[in-house]
Amino acid sequence: MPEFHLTDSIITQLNAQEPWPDNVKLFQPYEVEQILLPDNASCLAVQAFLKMCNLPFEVEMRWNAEFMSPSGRVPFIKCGAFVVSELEPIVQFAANKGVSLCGKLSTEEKAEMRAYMSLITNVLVNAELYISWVDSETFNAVTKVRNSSVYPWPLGWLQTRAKRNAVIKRLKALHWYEKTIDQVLADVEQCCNSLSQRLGDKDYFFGNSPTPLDALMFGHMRAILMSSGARAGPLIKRITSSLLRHLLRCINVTHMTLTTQEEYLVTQAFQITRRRLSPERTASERSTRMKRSRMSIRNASKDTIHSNSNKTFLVRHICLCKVHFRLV
Amino acid sequence: MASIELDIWRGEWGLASIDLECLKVLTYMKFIGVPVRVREANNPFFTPKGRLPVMKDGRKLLTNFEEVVDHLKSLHYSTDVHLNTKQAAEASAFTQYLREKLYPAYQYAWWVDEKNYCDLTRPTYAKALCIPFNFYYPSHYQNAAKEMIDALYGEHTDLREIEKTLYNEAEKCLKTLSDRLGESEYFFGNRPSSFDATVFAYLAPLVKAPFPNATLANHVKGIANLSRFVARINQKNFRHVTDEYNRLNAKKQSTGTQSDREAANFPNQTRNKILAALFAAIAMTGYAVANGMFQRWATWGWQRTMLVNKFRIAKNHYDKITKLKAAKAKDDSKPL
Repeated sequence: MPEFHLTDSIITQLNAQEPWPDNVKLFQPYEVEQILLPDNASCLAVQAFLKMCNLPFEVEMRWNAEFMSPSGRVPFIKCGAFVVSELEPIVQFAANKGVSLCGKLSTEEKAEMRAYMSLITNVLVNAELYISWVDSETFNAVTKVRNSSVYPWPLGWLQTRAKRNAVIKRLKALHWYEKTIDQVLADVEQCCNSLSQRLGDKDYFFGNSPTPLDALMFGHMRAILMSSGARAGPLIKRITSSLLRHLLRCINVTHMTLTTQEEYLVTQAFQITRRRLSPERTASERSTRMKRSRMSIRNASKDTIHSNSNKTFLVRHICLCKVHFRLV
Repeated sequence: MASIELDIWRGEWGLASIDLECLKVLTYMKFIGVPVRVREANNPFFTPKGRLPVMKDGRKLLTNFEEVVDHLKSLHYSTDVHLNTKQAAEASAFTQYLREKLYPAYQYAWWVDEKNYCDLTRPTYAKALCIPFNFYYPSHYQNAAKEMIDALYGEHTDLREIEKTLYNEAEKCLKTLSDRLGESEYFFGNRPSSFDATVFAYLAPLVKAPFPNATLANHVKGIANLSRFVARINQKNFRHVTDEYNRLNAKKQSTGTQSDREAANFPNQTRNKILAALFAAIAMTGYAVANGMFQRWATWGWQRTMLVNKFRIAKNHYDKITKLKAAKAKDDSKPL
């Protein structure tokens, strides 16, 4: 339709005239008590992207951010007269203002970047949705509690039900609902492998500077490290060392701070790498390690059954990470 | 090795199959050159998941592309051996990219767009299927596609807006693919890979099928190197299918007498006549019965039949007695 293109171009022009204002606000749900794994990943990705671009913004937490957003998905930014939601439109919006991270890339590299971004959104996002809404353990222990925490009693129950149905409908349409949890984790593993192979030993995916792909990757990895619930351990197991290094690199660039949980996990992981790579390890040492690791798995599964307090999450994470960080 | 069998949807318009998934598997097998017996089953009713293609290797039943690729790899048939790990990662990323951006648009063009569905998709699938199933499957598939579009783009209420976003995304995706392909023959190196099979399966139906509403198809046809890519793979792997289609087409158009052409326009004429006569006969008989035209049938009843039978039995009895009496009278008269 011609009218659409007209308005589109007007918006673009208006947009380009104004510089990036100082009072940009990023709206998202409450980070500590409300936000869920998939939303957290996209919020962190947008924050990382804006920080990589050196664009000033303020994070504003609202319990109803989801309903304020024009597309129904968090996060969204309010920039002057414009409200833009989700990473890809925000990247586009920033590019219209003349701020772009992928200016140096060739067309082929841009194509590749888009492909990897949709690998992440297709596999990791769907896996996160599956784990938080379909997997009954995580749904009962984490998702239900967190999602309904901001509503009064009957409303919380209704809203959670409605949202779960919507997510299940989406996953059914994409043929993800039929998968078992093992298949989902296998897909995540394959995705992480692909990404770490692409990353190799480099700091960033393309060249020496971050791109939107790096921001997206960072958001997901960090959200997974921050996640809780019975499936958090198996998910964290899938992160490889090169992705972890990438995470730290992005942390440095964006000047974000790690939470204690993440810091602990990351340091543990790196200690294991060092130990594993060191040449003086003997066979006997390896066998004792194996024994211990099996025990810690058993303990971890007991923890899942008995209690869900925050402390045991941490303990379990550490156990699982010690054992299973698949480090290249 | 037991021979591999493959059940697929039939082909049309010079394509080996009208279905995306079938075409993917078929193209992949052609790339490898594995001996396979292709059967145009055209009926997903007896398949394990209600979907075609189905690959049978001995006792194993495989129903989707990834499974087939994995299975053939375990038999040491693979096209992806020349890819290094980085290229393999890139191929999987691009596969997901197509799945995210092009697949919804493809499904929209085939099933959700009302004009295409009525004029092209529904007749094609209905022609392929046999009789009770052709009332069910096309609308079943359409509902599935509609549900997918609704789940992914539920926030837009207007169908035209959805169409526009979908086709925009798809156009961007095609542009990206064309940039990636450049002027090379295949996407990775100079040999075909599984990703080439996937791309061909997406693009070939769009290029070949005569869509009434051809927005998406025109996007593909407008990109020169992609349409050349499709033509090249078609030429190399499915030449016999295209040739046969062209020959049939040419025959239909030029040769043949008037009656032949008429017969071609209306196939199964005798069968249709017989069916019509049968139908008319049944309808008329039904009408007659409903109106009570067969009075004897209408007044028939168990009690009446029993009564008649009783009379008959009584009459037989009576006859027997009279006969015996007559015989006795004879006997009595003799000695006298």
